[in-house]
Amino acid sequence: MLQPFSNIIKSQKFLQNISLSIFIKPKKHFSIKIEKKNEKENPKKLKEFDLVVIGGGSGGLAASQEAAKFGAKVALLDFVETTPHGSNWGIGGTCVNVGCIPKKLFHFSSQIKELMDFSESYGWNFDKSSLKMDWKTLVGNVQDHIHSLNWGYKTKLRDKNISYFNALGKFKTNHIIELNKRNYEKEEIYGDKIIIATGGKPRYPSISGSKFCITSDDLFSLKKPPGKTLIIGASYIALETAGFLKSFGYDTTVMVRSQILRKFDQQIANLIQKNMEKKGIKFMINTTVKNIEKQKENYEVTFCEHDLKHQKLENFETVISAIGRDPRTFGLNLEKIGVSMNKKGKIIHENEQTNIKNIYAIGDVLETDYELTPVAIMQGKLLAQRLFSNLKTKMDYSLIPTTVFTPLEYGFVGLSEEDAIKKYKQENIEVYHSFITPLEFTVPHVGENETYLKVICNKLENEKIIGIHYLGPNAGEIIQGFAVAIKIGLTKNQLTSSVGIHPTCAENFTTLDITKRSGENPKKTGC
Amino acid sequence: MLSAINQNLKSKTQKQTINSILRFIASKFQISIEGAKEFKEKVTDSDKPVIVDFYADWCGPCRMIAKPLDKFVDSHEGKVILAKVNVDRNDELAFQYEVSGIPTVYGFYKGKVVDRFVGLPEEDFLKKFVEKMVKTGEK
Repeated sequence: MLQPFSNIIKSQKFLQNISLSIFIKPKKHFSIKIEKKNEKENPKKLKEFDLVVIGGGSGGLAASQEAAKFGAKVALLDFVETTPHGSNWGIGGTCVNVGCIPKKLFHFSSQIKELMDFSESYGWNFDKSSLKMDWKTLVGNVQDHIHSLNWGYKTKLRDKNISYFNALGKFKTNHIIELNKRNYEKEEIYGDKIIIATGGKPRYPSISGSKFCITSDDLFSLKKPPGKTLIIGASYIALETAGFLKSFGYDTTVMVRSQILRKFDQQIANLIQKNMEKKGIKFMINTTVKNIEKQKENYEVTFCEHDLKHQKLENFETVISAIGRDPRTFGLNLEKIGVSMNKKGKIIHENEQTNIKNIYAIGDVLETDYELTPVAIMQGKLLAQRLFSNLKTKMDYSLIPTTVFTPLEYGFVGLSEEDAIKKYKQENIEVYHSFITPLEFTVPHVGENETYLKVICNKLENEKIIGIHYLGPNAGEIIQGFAVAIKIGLTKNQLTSSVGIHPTCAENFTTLDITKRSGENPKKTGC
Repeated sequence: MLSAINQNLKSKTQKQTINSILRFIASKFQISIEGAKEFKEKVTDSDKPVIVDFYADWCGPCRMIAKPLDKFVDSHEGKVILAKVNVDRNDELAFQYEVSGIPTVYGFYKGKVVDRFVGLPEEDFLKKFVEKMVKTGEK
């Protein structure tokens, strides 16, 4: 009886600010109390919004647009604080401005060089020494594209009647947000529901001279070519950066405190490192940076290898800190209003709702295992649907695919081999694998047996596939389709009974038959 | 016009002087608009026909349209004015005139929109567009 009535209230957007209380009295009588919700909470009569989204990145933009679709009155706040190095950018968040988009374009530029390197064997004649990277042209053109995306988002928000504020948001109460605009003006707005989508930012090492580091926030708009570069860090950001910088012709070193890609499948992490070393990228493993000092022309970096007692010095033109990212929860005043966060500052949630009833969070700022744009977008869309429509779908965090765009790309979905063993025990899993040489690499004799495929199956469930890993060209494109299949329960048998597309690298997934357990050689030998 | 004269000058200072004189003359037909107030004064309230070029620095087609548009406007010697509006600095103005794809080029006369186009057209189309605006002013 109560359910249909409250549904009617929820579906009428002009009634959304009405609070409905139903009191059940003895003898099954009931009384209904209807009051305009915000009068108590919005005494100053500030501009009212059904939804205020703090952060105009992948998550924030998705949530605000989806909510507007269902008739909600939405405000979106976005503000970029200038980095210590002086970089700033427009709406769109990390992905568009200083993440996925420029990264993939720089990676693609490096792949062009790789192809040119063996083009001779395919009949192309040109003077290879004339092939030079013009950093300014690359940066200029990539930035032009980013600016066109900034503009596109602005017009989209305008078209969907979303109020966009270029301001830093701070919570005054759990409903009132103070906007701090660029011209130092302040304004307060009222939000019935609030979504925090402020994302993350790069971490600097806690050493003296850390201010001489730049980060991924600065790299893609760097005015001068980076030159001889040191990258401090072992994350995929560090490795992807090292990959394209080396291709561009810059002397590149990666300084790693313990091991690279710690949370990823370690066998594949090792293969990635070997491939990068082969390309001339220098790795300093088990090494910690101690100090950075500015010299006339470059930076002098002091570091210490863990098994040696003494410190070493080396000079670099650019030092990039890629040691991790921290959630941007500082400065929002979350502690004051009591939003719970974990030790790392990430917001604790249940289905993206914080411990404060009307406050939600999505994207990198949320405590999940993922810091990925498609995750933030999906979280934002589904949350907006749950808040402003009758749809009830919750975010599913299982089997989320991703790809690391190192020189040899790594795409995967599901469990790493280590995690599979931990979860199911070695005797209950079957690992099928193979090294291959992509057809295109045979003619120039490059990358022999470097491309690697691995499928991990759960023997207890009819060899249901619990992890698919691909290390090789076009990893992202290849894994996408398999990610869909694995989510609906793909088994090894189903994979093997699929007909492959020839000649491709991906078809090898359909013909995998060597298991790790058998000890047979997974490399293809001979011509 | 500028480049043709430039090629015949040898001294750098000569070039600079002539360029600034030419820019002063050209500026009579080409103006840059910042803000709604300037737009009203120099476009809506102008007694001459005005072509408004909504552009951005990062937009490739905007760069490509600039020279031919300048050329055609200059050739009519002041019968039509070219007003340039940077959409990043003037987003309110851009949204008011429903600019989403760029370049978006409008033709105004006596406060009314006579014509408009979006994107990068053929040079012939551009020439005819400018001529149409000139003719509108002559009526």
